[in-house]
Amino acid sequence: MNRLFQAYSMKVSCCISLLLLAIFIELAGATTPMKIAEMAKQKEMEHSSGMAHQSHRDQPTIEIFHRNSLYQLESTWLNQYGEQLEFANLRGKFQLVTMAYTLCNQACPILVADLKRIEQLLPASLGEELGFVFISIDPQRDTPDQLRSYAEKMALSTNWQLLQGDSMGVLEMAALLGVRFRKELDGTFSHSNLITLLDKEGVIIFRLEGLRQDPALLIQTILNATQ
Amino acid sequence: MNWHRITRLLWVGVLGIVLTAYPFNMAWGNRSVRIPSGSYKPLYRNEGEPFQVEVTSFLLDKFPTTNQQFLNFIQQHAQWKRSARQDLFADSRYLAHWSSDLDPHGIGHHLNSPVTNVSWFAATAYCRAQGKRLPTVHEWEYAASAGFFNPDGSAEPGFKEHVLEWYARPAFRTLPAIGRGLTNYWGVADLHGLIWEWVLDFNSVLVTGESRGDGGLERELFCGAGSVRSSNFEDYPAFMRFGLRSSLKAHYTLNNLGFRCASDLNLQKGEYK
Repeated sequence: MNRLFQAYSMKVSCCISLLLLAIFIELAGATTPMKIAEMAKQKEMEHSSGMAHQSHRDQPTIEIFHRNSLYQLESTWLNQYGEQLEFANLRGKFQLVTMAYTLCNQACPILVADLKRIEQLLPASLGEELGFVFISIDPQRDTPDQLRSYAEKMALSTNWQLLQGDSMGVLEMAALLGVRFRKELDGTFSHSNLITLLDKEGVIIFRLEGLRQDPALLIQTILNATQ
Repeated sequence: MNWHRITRLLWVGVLGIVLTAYPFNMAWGNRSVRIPSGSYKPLYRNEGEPFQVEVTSFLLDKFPTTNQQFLNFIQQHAQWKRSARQDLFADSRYLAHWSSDLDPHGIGHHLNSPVTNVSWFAATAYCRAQGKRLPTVHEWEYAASAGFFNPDGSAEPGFKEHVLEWYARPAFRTLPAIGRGLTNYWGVADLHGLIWEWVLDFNSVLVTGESRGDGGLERELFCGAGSVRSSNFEDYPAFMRFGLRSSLKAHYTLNNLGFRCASDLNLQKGEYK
């Protein structure tokens, strides 16, 4: 009897530990690397055989936008009129993009003057096809009102959009354009002086680095591209 | 009754094997560690800048992000598969060590080693998907300035040597798994001695092409005359990190450059100050 009971209790304890183990494996199994690798392989096989074509639809950014287009960005911006826009709203025109800030009295006015000079050197008929974008690296102080008064002060044409973003959006844009910038202790910014030309689909096609550069090559690129 | 002793032993054995083989770091996610407010001495500063930089309290991942964790992310965000790579967001070495799109088993890397060959954009996207962000230069440097037993590693005997050791050693043939070394005073692991790490504002380190000569760090970095403004001549590792950041572009990927995420303290639920 005693032996029977012992055997019985042993079986019960075995069952319980088996159950515990099963639960443990079940819980752990959800993220077991083996399983993930298996799932991944399966998914890949489906993919290569063209079975899972719908899963592609989950990523509309890949489908709709051109590869390497800046218009894939999801950040939102405010322009000098206080209108909210996504960067993709600039699509359809060539865009000359620069990053600076309005309270800057050293390099930025020269940078803006460089852009204005380019605008003047181009035939007026190009206005329909080419826009100018000024992206502020100082979103705390460059509000739409500040941007508007700056546009007036600098006598910028209606082809200009001056944009305020959030700090992450600005950082991401700087990373994409290759602009390095840093806020100094006195509230000014050090930053790269860079003019970037985007095609109608938001792909970077030309970069002009530095102040007071000869814009001839940039202008030629624009003329060739718009023909 | 030999048989139930054997079965019991067997069970313990099986359980033991399961437990030791199970990667707890992955199952529990990457735990964040609270780094309290404080200050550190940055390696470089501009004229007029204080010797100490104040850093407010934040959360930092205990470990760098692993291959496994990055795979989990890619399964949810197919645009970050290697085959979907765009030059704008990552160069051609992106995830080069993976054997395929969804197979992180590659030569010289474990599932549980830090993911490398990732661009700033990929790292940022990963952190964003976790509701986090990359740490800033100041946050990273502040967290990494702590020793093993002391918030200020520079005051700790042997700590500097420990950090330096990695720079003196040739690159790992196989990148070790995370969490092999000691955690530092704040409870963060692998800040030194495993990989280089992306920071949020890596592009705030200005070396060339900036607007103002006086903010230009080129002089400080490369010329003896500028070095007087370096706060610590002996901090060779900080000098190296500074140099690397200044040479990076956001789409670059490197075989020993990974990342970990951080977040603002007040945004995290279930945490207290």
